[in-house]
Amino acid sequence: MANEEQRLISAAQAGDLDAFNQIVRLYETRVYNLCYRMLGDVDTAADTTQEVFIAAFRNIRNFRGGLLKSWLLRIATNACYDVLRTRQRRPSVSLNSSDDEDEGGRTDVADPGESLDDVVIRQELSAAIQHGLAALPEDQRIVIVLSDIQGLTYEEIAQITGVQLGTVKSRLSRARAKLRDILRAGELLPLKFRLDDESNTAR
Amino acid sequence: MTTSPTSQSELPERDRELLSAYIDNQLTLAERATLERRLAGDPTLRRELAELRATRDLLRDQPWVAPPRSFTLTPEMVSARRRAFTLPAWLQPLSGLVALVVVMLIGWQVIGLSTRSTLDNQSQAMAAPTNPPAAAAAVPLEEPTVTADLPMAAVAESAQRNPSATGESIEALTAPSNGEHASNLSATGAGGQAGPPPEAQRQTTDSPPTGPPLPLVIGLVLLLAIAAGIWWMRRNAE
Repeated sequence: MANEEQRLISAAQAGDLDAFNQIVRLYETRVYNLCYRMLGDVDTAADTTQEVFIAAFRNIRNFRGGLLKSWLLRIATNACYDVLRTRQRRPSVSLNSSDDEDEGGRTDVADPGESLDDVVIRQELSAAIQHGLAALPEDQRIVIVLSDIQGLTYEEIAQITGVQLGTVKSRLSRARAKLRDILRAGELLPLKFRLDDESNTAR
Repeated sequence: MTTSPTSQSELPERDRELLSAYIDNQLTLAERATLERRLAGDPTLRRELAELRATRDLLRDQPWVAPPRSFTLTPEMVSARRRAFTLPAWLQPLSGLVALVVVMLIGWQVIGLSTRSTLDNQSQAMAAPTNPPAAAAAVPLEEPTVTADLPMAAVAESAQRNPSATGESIEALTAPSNGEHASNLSATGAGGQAGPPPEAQRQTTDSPPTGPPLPLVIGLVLLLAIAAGIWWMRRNAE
C-alpha cells in the first residue's frame, strides 16, 4: 500500500494526472469530511475540497516525503481557514443557517440494515454534533475534528495545524468540554445519547 | 436534562487536560498512575471523565459523510489554473521600480508645472507696472520704485532662460505710459485684476516647446520592456 502510494506520488510529481486522480480517490472522502465539519455547508465543502486537490496537484512537486494524508489535510485546513476568514469579512452566510439549509443535501454513509427510526436518530445526532462544532472557536474545532472524527494522533494534528503538542492537548481538552456543555445546555442530543444520563456516561 | 454545565467549571483546566489526554492514552505512566489514584477517590473527577469520554465517543461514532461528487481532476481544471499568470519572484521587485519611476515622473511634472507657474507669475509681475490699478495712483511714490526693482530682477533672470522672449518683455516693461496704455487701464477697470498685456501672454504661450524630459523617456522605455517581458513569459507559459 505504501509502495503503491509512493509510486502514485512519483508519477504525479512527473505530471501524471491519472496517477494523481488515484490519490484523489483515496483521500477525497477524508478531505471532504474535514471541510464539511469545519465549514458546515455541503456546497462550500465540496468547492473547497476541489480547490484542495487542484492546489495539491500544482504543488505535488514540493511534497518531500512524510505522510501524504497529513500533507493533504494540512492543505485542506489552510483552505478552510481561508474560507472562514472570507466569511468573517463578508458575514452573509452563517454556519448555522447554512447547516440548516443543507440538512436535506447531506448524505451519511448509511448502514443498509438500519431502520427508519435509527436513520432519524442518527441524523438528529449528526445535526446536533454539527451545531455544536459550529459553535466552537476555529482553532478548537479543527483540533477536535482531526482527533475525534478523523482519528489522527496528537503528533499528526500538531504537524497539520502547525502548533506544539501541548497546544494540541489543551485545545482538544477545551473543545471536548465546550462541546459537551453545548450539547447538554441545548438538549440537542437524541434522548438515548444525552450526556447527563448516568447509564450513558458510565460506559 | 436540566443540569447546567457549571459543574464542569469547578474543575481546574489542568485536570481537564489530564482527563482528555488520559482518554487518548497520552499520559506518561507516572501521570496515569497519579490520575487513577485521584479518580478512585473523587466522584466529580470520575463524572467529568465519563462525560468527556462520551463526547469523544459520540464524535468517533459519527459515520463519514459521503462526498456529493467526485473530485478527480480533468486536464481543463489543471490547465485553466496554469494559465493564471503571476509574476515570477525575480521580476516582482521590478514592480517597485516601476512605481518609483511613476512617482519620479509625477514629481518631475509637478515641479515643472510649479516652476512654469512661478515664471508666469514673474512675467505678470513684470507687466504689472505697465498696468497699475487705478487705486494704485493713491499709494506713496516710494512703493512703485520697489515694485519696479523686482520685475527688473525677474527680467534679468528670465533673460538668462529665454533671451528671445526677454527683449519684448523689457520693452513692455519700459514702455512709456502713453495713450494706448491709458486705454488699457480703462479697459481693465479699477479692480487691479488685469493680466499681462496680450503681447506678454503671447510670449509665454509661444515659447518654443521643449522635448520630453529624460526620466520620462527612460520610464516609458522601462515600462515597455517590462510589458514585453511579461508578454513573452505568458506566451512561454501557455
